[in-house]
Amino acid sequence: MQAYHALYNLFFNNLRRFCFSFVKSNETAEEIVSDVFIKLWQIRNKLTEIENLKVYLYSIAKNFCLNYITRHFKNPVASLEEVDIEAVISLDNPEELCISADILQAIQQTIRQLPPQCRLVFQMVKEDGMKYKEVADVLGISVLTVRNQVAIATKKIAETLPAYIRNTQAPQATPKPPAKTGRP
Amino acid sequence: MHEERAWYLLSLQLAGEATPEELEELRNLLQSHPELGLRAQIMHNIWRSQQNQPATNDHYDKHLQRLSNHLSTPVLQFDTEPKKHKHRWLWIAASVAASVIIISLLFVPNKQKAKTPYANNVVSTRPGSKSKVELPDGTQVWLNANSRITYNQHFMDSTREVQLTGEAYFDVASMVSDQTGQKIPFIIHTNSIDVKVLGTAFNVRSYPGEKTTETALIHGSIEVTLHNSPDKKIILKPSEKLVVRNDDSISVISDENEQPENEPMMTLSRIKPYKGDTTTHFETMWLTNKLAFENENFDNMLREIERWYNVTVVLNNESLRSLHFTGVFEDKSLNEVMEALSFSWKFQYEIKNSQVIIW
Repeated sequence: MQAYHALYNLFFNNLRRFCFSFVKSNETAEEIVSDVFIKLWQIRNKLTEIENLKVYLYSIAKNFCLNYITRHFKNPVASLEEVDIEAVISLDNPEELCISADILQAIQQTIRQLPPQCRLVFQMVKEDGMKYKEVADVLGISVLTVRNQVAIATKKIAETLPAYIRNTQAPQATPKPPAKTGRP
Repeated sequence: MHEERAWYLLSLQLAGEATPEELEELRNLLQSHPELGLRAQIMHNIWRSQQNQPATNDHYDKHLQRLSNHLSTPVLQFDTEPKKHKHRWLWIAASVAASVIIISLLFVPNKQKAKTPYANNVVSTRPGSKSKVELPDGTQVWLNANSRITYNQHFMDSTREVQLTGEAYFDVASMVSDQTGQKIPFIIHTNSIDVKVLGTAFNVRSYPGEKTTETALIHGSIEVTLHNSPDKKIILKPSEKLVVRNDDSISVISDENEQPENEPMMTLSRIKPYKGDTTTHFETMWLTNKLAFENENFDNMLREIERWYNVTVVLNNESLRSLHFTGVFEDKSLNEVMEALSFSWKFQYEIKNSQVIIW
């Protein structure tokens, strides 16, 4: 029972955000997450047979979301392409990011303009920390597609960023030294 | 051109999907193109930004409620709520610590030792209705009318414990602890006895107001402990039945004519099959919706009828109290039952609304 509770706490936030992307309502998203966990409870004795629990939970969530959308709107939805996805990307405040408020806004705009599936993939990789293969399995697309989508999003955002800091509120006045790679 | 390649490699790095070669390439690119450095750094910061709304206890409680609803059969009614939308529970603010399960507000007659301060899961039936529930461990419990079982969130930790008032039939699921490899015992607490399950299917009857508590074993084996003599443990084998006198039982109006019976503290006997059919027993007939009495005294019989049909019975004929009755009513209405009884025992009765008056 406590393991179950722990799992719930572990996945709640991310699964809810994932579902929100499809159903666009926090309340509905929470209900669907609850449904996913009801399902999890029902198959609790077969958990060892599941290779990747994360992929399993997300896949179920995705299906429940598609069902919900089908039930609530006139046109039955069979695949993700037909869904209007509202993925959410977290951004710290400008000071934390060492950028100005304007730049932050520009980034948000860039993100908003990303194609829906690209945004969703980016959300799953950045926010939920999923591996490319996991994203591919959940969404039913190829790993190559996932990789490209993340690359596109990264590039678009990077291009929105300033190459140099000039006259901003950032504490540093000089360009930063080359970033060390390999940081977490 | 380099820039595009750099962003591509950066995306792999941020996602944790870059190979060592790719990381090396990125490092070199950034070194030879310092103008990329700032943006790469900011991208790292962006990537690390998090906005978490972690699950609260409220969320989990709500979820458990939905899970409970999903598992229970529709017949189940919850205390204090009239038959309405089945999702409505009465809430109190949650008490104490971490994982709190749903509390149900009810009039708990807490004569029992004060249990844990944690919240409880309660399932109960009203007079006139029976129901079945599945506990989180897969144990099936059939509740007779006006009965209640309670368990808390420690239910499946090292033991599985429930409190019972009323009558219930248990089909206990076998459960083994991952840590100890031992079977996790299932224990039922009633007002006067504890039943520890070593086997599977059995019936426990402990209604307040009845003079005795009884438990009848169908399959497996159970161990009964008396609250009054905790060192005395009785193990029942299949087809055995134990009847224990409740010490603080409400004494029925004692007839002056009645001999003060030297009732034993408890009796161990065999459960009686019905009409020679060993698979059906009086004690568990209520499961198949048969109202059955086996040498039952009139008082207890009337009380059972009260619960079964959700009526009150007023007995104005004292001479009837000493009678004992054996019989089975299957799918009979209250009228039919009263008619049959009045025939055999020559009394008059009247049914008005939910009240039966006998004289």
